[in-house]
Amino acid sequence: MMSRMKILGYYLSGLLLVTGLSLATGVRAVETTNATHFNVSYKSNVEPLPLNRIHSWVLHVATRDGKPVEKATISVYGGMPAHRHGLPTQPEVSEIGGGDYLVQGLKFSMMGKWEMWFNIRAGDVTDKVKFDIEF
Amino acid sequence: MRLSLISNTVWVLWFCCLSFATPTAADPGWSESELALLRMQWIGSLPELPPDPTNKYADNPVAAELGQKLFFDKRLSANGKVACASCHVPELSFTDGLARSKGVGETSRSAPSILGIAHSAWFFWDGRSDSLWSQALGPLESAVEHGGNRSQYARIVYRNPVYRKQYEQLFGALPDLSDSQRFPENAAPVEDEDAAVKWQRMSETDRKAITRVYVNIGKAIAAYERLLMPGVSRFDRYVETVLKEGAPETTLLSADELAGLRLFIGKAMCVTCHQGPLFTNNSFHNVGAPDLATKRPKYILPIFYLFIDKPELDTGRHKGVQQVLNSEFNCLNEYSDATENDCAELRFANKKQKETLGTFKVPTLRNITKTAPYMHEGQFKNLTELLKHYNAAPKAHVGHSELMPLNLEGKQLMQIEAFLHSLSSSPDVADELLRTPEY
Repeated sequence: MMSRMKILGYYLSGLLLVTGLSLATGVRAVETTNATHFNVSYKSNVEPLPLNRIHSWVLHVATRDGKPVEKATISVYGGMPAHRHGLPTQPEVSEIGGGDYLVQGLKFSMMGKWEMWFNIRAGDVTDKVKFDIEF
Repeated sequence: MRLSLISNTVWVLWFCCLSFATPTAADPGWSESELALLRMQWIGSLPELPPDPTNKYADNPVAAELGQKLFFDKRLSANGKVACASCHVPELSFTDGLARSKGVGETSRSAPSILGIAHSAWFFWDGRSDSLWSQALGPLESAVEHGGNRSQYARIVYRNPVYRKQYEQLFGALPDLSDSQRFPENAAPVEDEDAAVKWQRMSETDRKAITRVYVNIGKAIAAYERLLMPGVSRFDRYVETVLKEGAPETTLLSADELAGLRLFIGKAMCVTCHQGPLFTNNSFHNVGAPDLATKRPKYILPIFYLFIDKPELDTGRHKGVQQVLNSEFNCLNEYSDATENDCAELRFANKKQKETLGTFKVPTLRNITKTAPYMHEGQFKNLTELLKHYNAAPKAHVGHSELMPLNLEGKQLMQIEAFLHSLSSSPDVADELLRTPEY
């Protein structure tokens, strides 16, 4: 009986391994923000995030208690630290309203780990947010 | 009984897991993530050719027919000896086997392959063109490539009844070029002083009429080039078999080729840039290729070399991006058929000097065995030299290299080289499109 349980354990481990590997394919986007003042999220106009294709995001900026942040000045930069290069494009940010900002001209041209940084200044408050993306 | 059935099922499933993970020569045991990468590189994943909004004749068969004639026509040059096909030789996967391609003079770069090029948003090693038709126009007026000028080319179309008929069928009536005072034989904004002066003396309307014919020549050549796609290689047949049958007993790839493929998509990280079915991301990267033009010859002492006039440093995309932004033929220009919304690549192009310095466009690796020497200036004579460079990842001569030392052993480099041989194929094009058309 013990040995059967052991076999089942091995099988489940194998299954988990296979499942884990399948999760490693495709794109993963994780917010690892160290922002202290704002809650920031994004939505891409192409899902999942595309490789090698220009696309845009809508960035939503809110205060910690959920109120939309308007008239913010946002600059964007990013790249692949492991390969010591920046973004292949120069994206532009414009305000839509209601705490939403359009980020146009985004492109990820390589497989691997990317970082997307946004510097957000609203009134006297400045904050920085980072998204980790992996293809 | 039931317990025994469960136990047997577990054994069978466990055996499947084991066989999935145990590599053999025929079954290298690809993981799910590796299979996803193989599928990504497979020619079957090549998307439909994207439309070219800058060229409304891009998919017109008559334009392609005219374009093929022009592509192989040596009369489109200053000395009647240089055609597009002189440097883009079909048998060499549309390259010429030279480190520095030769037209009427010697260029500073090696002609890249144009198989599958229509999938790219940027053209030339430095991306100084953002459409296939504007790329075709660059060499035609380059002093060292075709060496001719737009007035000369417009007149060739005007005088040749076959060209004229097809041109007018596509683009409408040619301007009346019979008055050689109004339309000189040789006039264009080129290096040749005589032609440049004559060009300045022409009226703006006449200059535009000639330029329009010149642009249409480019658009016809582009329509032909859009047909040039790579065919199915041994690598593709292998991937197709693996995807269909799981772990097949196949001899399509040898053990060394399979090991090379595993390195290519794994430890060697080649796939990060040579990504997708064309084995290129069509983007710009600095891989620290030496700049041969400015390299000090061994017989000159360093102290003396300081005082010698050296050629301009090849900064690649750093200069190319400025050229395309200022080009009279870019996506936003009057000769482009695109709307502003179609020109996102140009609008959002990275113009940061520090980041573009010394970067060059990633070439396709399909048919790489036919396209030596390698890199933009043919810096490496063969694949062995090329792979040694990637393994060592030396400091860049211009800008900073994105490479990191791979620390691969000699045998592993040999295996990657073996794998690259499996990427050869005949173009996926009818034979009659690969030679001078009869007319």
